[in-house]
Amino acid sequence: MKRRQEFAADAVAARIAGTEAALGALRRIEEVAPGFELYWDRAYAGPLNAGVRPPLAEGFRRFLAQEQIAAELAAGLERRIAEERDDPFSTHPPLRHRLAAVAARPATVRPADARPALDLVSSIAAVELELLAAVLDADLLARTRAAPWEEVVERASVPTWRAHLNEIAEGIRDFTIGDLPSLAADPRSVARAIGPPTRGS
Amino acid sequence: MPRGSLTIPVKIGTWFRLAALGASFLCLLVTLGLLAAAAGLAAAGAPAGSAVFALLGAVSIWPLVNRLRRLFSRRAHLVLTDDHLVITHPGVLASPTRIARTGIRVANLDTARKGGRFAVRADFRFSAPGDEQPVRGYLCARPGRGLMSSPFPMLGHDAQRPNLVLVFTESVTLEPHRHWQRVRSHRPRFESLRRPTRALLLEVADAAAAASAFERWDILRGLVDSDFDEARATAPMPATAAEVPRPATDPLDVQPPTSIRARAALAISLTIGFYVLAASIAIACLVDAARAIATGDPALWDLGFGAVGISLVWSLVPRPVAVERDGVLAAPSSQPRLWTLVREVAATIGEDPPDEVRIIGAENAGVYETGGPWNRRVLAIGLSLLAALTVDEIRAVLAHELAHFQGGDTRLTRRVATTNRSIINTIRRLSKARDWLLRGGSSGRYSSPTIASTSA
Repeated sequence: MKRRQEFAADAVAARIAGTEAALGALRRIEEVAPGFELYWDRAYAGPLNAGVRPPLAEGFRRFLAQEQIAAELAAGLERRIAEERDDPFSTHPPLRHRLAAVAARPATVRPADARPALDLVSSIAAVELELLAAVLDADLLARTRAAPWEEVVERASVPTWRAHLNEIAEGIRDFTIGDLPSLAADPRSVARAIGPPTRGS
Repeated sequence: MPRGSLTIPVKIGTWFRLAALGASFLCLLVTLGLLAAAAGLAAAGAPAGSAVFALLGAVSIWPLVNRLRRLFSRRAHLVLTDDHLVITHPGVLASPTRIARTGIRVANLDTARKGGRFAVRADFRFSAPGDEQPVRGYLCARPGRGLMSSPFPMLGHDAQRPNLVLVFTESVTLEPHRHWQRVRSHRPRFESLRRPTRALLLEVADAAAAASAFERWDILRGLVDSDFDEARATAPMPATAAEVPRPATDPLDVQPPTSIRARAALAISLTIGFYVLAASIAIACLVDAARAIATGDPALWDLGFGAVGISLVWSLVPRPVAVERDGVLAAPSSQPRLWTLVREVAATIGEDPPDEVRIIGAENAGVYETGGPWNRRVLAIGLSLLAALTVDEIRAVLAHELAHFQGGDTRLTRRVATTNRSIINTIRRLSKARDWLLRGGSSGRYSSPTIASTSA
């Protein structure tokens, strides 16, 4: 019953927004679904921990636009489409069936509007802050300051690198820039000099 | 073929034991109620009805009891043949894990339990994808304390006196039953068993039997650090369960997987059966109480029956699950452009716009009704969708979701959710099918990434 509703709703979507947009939305939602967690772990949590709070949605948009990430997600989507089983208990039919059903309709052409959907949202910073407040520790959120992504490297990454450098300064003191060619051939000598990483620092 | 068989008690956490106790008690209660109803009907001169009740009771209770027995069994078995080790547990492991003799490098049995530290020092590593970090730690057991090396995946995670360590030459995956993973409050923590493990620490019921069983294999000795490294470097890959041909007459009690339809049918009939049973008990109790009161001289226990009947009826009334509204409210005044699009799409498909639009953290979109006298129709859109999609794709999403309103699909949402949940709860215990459980809850995903786990 629920599945017939999904197909019907997909048909409405195609009629209203155009076949192209309906297919695009179906694929895109499935494609980026795993991306947000990846984005949070790889790109967003670090600056937050360092006290910087860059724009969340804008950062996600840029994250998705990176060549490597885009390729990874696209490959993941194709794999999932191909492997998805038709589970009789799932509320949604398999994506490939939904795509096929939409594509099988007589095509509806609508004028394309390729602006990013974020343009529809006003005062995005306030919305993001409220969303973050719901999932983050209040203390941690209070310690962060809003900053554009351009400043993240300077404010979050550089202090982290510097702290890391201080940790290993003892080990690499004897290396000079002239050693670089030989070090490139034997990177393990640096590792030996630095010693094992200390946990929790 | 000579065999050695060991029995390994699996430690089960307090909460899980309590749950088992409660479930068993419930079974007993239902059976007693049925018998009482059957007896009552027989006394009232309705032998046919009595027989139906008795039969119904036997039929619906038996699979449940059987399932419980397997699920809460504290017995895991190791069976050693000449060339294989097979680990089974009817309730914990989804299927027997079969490991070739060459896949086991060394076994260490600690028969001297007293004296604190278990005499093993191990450098063990996990090889989960993307996590090749060697983990170094002591495996030790002290009376009254759990293992010190918590990340070590094992059966009987909290075993205080583990006395058998098996070191595998390569990773072995022990696939736990799906439903065990859903229970967080019990031990052992079987989700960790999904990670390929290189060693297993077990408590053996009979150490002498274990010693004689492993004697033939000649691998029982003390462990040293290098066992773990050498095992990785030199030994051939062990055959996994899939690669080893099964002997024609396998003595193991392996249940063939039931088909998904059969499981669903069983679950649904159990659900219906549950309601029928409970309702009949309630009616029997109430009728008894009403009769007693009608005679004008009710005994205390008749009143007790009445109370039981009323409380049963009360608990049987289906209640809608409260729908919680999360996310940020996007008011028309603060989000004019978003609302313009929502209204435009709603008008095009001939549907009233929703009462509320909310921007949520989850990676999806949806519509629901809050229900009650102040019913509000809510449209929720994930922030990540707004970040990833274009305007015309969002239009498609909005049209799709608003079409659900139009079809009346959401009106039954809460009632369907209630029924689904009770059926799913039943199915969950009856089957190991995984997908629909995973897809069931998607709203909480935003909160799952913890920032404490990452450092820049």
